[in-house]
Amino acid sequence: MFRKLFKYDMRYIARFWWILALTAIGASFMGSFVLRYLISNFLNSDVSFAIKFMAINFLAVVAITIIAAFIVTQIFIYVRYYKHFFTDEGYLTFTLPVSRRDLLLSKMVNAFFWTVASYLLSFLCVLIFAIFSPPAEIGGPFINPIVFEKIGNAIVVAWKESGLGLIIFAVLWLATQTFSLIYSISLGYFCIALGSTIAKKHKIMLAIGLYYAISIAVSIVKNYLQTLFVTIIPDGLDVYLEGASDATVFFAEVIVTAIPCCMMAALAFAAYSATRTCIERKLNLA
Amino acid sequence: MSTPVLSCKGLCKSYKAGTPVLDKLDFELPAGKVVGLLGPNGCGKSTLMKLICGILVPDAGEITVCGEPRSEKTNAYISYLPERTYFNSWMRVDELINYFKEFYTDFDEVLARKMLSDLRIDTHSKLKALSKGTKEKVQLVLVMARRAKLYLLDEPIAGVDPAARDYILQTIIQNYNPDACVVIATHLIRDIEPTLDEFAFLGFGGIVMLSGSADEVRAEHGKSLDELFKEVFKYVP
Repeated sequence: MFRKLFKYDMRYIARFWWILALTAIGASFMGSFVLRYLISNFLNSDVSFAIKFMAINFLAVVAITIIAAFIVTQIFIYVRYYKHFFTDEGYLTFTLPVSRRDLLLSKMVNAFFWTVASYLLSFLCVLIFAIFSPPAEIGGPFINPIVFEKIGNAIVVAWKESGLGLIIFAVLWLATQTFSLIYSISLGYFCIALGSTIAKKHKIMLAIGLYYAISIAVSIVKNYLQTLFVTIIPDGLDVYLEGASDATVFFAEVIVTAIPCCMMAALAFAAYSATRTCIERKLNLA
Repeated sequence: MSTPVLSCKGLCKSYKAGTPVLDKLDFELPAGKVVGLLGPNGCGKSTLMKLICGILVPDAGEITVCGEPRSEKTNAYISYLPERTYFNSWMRVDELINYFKEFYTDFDEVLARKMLSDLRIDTHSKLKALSKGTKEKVQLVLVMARRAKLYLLDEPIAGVDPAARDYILQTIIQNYNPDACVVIATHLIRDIEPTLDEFAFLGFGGIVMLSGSADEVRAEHGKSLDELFKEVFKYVP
């Protein structure tokens, strides 16, 4: 049943997302050529100010398009969740022979997938700019090879300096980002669920208010703890580990890096559990 | 004695503290009956149906469907028609048929398509392009095309034209499984009366004012259910 739910959730966003993606990619290509032209001709007095001004405006539109592609995806993810669970559509959703855990999990995985896809789309758009816009020299190669060279060099240097450590820290970073994303989605879902459970009117307004209130409270606590673990304790560790072997120092650094990851994992779990409790035990459709 | 299709014990639900919509409601429904759940506005008919299919969480009490406590598993036995349009409006009727086919193993696609064709509904249409009455017909067709054990129909004919009403009532009688039970909540007692085997007049607080076999009660009182309803729930100025 989970696969069927997931398929329908995916289809809902997929039917418009490809249009967003194509628009953003197309805009990036056009924008990169405009930027290339602008860089080459900015100081050229033969090109009128009006053309330069139009080119700059066009670039602003391209930037807005790329950002909008991400924001619109997020809006659709939350609209789908709200409509499917808390409006009249809930009458179909909650009478399906499917557990509420599966219903929520399908929405979570779907949101995670499309958010990652949106990040990758934004990255691709930036990459298009990086590759096509800077001319190596006027009349030089169409695709700038410097970008590839710089990325390759950065990876080689990092690998030489850190070796296995690079992989460990990359995995920890990836895990932290993953938990952070799950927390962010779960918190959004929780606030919508709570807003819809306790309010009769202005449910969305309440959900937005709750989201900001909880986010601010959590980020204050998180920043305090992160400062404690990432700044104060490592300073103390430097003194404590003075003269210790490289392996001991490395292990201590891994532990300190893992702490924010564990904090995000705990927050993600708490937000997801709260949403699940709200939907399984408290939800009463009007 | 065979297991009742639906059993409720001590069922309580209130939206506001101190004003229960249902207060310790007890009843059992056997298979093979069409039961009318009749009562004035706000007496808890829709609330009762929502509790049975899990849209609302009861404050207290037990609900069992085909001998099993209410859960997502018992949703597979229940075919529920709410009193509102509840399908996603961007879906086509064809897509809704596929949706039902995928999630409900007891869904009869051939029957659904036949009923839609009888009612002259184009299955390629998007739901948002259909009128309110046609949407309600689509909902009813999909709900009745299931081979469920318990049908919960909340105001099934309120929004449709009189010609379609006759077809829908015939559909209900002809299509339900003899091992199933059909519960119909409505105000349109006169229209629905010939269809009913049993009935219950539900008063405020979920109190059962009068219930039994429709034929027996009619013979005993010498009045139709519609007339009896007006008598029992008469508003005194």
